[in-house]
Amino acid sequence: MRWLSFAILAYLIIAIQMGLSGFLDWGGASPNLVLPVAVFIAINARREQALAGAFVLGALQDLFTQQPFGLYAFSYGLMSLFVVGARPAVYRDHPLTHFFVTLLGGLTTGAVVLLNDWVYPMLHHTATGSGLSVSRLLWGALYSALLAPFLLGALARIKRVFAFHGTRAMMSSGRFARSGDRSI
Amino acid sequence: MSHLRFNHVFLFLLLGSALCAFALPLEYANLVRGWGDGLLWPVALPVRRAAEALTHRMKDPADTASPERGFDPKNAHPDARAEIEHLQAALAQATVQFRELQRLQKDRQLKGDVENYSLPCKVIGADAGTRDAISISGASGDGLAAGMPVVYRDCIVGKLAAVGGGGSQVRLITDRGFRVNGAFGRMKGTQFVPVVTETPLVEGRGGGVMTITNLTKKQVKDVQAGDRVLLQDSEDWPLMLNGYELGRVELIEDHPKQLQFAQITVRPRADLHRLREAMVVARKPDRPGTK
Repeated sequence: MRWLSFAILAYLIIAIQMGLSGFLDWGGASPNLVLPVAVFIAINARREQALAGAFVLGALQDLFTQQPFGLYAFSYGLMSLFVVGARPAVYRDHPLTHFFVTLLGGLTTGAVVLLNDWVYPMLHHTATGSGLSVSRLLWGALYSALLAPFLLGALARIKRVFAFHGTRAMMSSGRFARSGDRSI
Repeated sequence: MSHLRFNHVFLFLLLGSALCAFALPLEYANLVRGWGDGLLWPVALPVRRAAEALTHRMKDPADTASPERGFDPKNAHPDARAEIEHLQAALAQATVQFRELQRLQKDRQLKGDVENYSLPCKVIGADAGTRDAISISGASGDGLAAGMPVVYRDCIVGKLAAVGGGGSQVRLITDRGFRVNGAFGRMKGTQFVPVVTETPLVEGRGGGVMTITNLTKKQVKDVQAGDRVLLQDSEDWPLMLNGYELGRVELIEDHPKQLQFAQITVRPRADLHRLREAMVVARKPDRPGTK
C-alpha cells in the first residue's frame, strides 16, 4: 500500500469529519466518516498493512476528539482484526459488504466507547457523569453504515492510487479468496 | 518484518492503546492535542462554510443576500448592459460582506467588560468523535491556556481543554460530565427576575443538551419551561462571567430513577456545534491594589 496516498486520505477524511460534525446529525445520531475509510483499508490492503493502517487512522482521529486517547485506535484495530479474518468470505467491492462491515465496525467502536464511559470514571474517581445513550451509538453506527456504500464506492474507483497488494487479480475475479492464495 | 514479529508489535500497540484509553488521565492526553488542529483547517474550514451555507439556504431559500432587482439590465442600452451587470454583481458581493461584518460585530459584543479581556477565535470544526467539543484557531502562541473560559455573545460556550501550537479544543458545556453551578431566572417585560431555588447543578448530557437532577420537585415548583439558566459559580469561573447564560429550560419532568427529584432539560440558546466564532476569555481583570 502506498502510505503517502493513505496519509492524504487520512488527512482529508478527518478534516471533512471535523468540518461536517454537527451538520450531519439526524435525530441525535451523528455519522463517523472515518470508520468507512478504516473499513476500506482493512478490506483491501495486505494483512499487516490493513491492521497497521486502521490502527493509525484511529490514533489520528483520537488527536482531534476529546475522548480518552487511544479509544479509536483500539476500536479500529479490533475492527480490522475481525475484517481481516472475514475477508476470504466476502465480496469486497459489494455495497452490502461495505454496509455490514461498517455496521460491525460501528458496533465494535460503540461497545468500546460505552465500556470506556462506564469504566473510566471508576478508575479515575471522576464524576460518573450522565451515561452515554446506547440508542445514540446504535443509530450512529447505522447512519455510518448507510453512508459507507457511497463513500467506499467512490474510494473503490481510485483504488489504484493506493496500490493494494493483489488488486489487479482481485478486480478481475471480483472475489478476494482463492484456494492457495497466500497473499491473504 | 516477519509475520510473528508483526503480530507481537500489533498486539503490543493494541494493548497500549487500550491502556491509554482506560488508564491515562485526560489531562495527559490533552497535552498532545491542539497541535494538529491548525493543520486541518485548510480543508475543515471550507467544508464547514459550505455546510453552513447549504444549511442556511435550505432553511431560508429566499435569503440569497442579493440586492433587489428593480431594473432589468436587458432593457438597457447594449453598451451599458455589461457595466450594469458588473456593478450589480459588485454590489451583491459588498452586501454579503457588509452583512458578515455586521454579524461578526454582533457576535463579538459581550456583556460587561468581558470583551476587553477576550480574544476572538474562528471555529475550525467540531469534535471528530462523539464528544461535544469544537476546535478553534486560537493557539498557545496567542496566550491561550487550558482551562480558559469560552463565550459567545452573552452565552457560555465551554472551557479550553487542549491548547497546542496549531489550535485549541474547547470542551462544550453540553459535553458529558461537564458540571457547573447555575441559577434560574426569567424576563418579565424588560426586567430580569430571578427564580429562587437551591443551587442547580447543570450537567452536560451530550447531544447538545444539559440536565439538572439535584433538585426535588418541590424545589423547582416555580421553574417553568423557557426560564433562563445563568452561570453562578465564582469558584471555577471568573466573576465577570457570572450571569452569562448557560441555556433555557426546555422540559421539566420526573427523574426516571428517583421519583422525588425532578429532571430539567436545558438547551443552549445557540447550537454550539455550529458556531463560526467564539471568544476566549484570555485575561482576567487586575485586582484592586495590584499592578
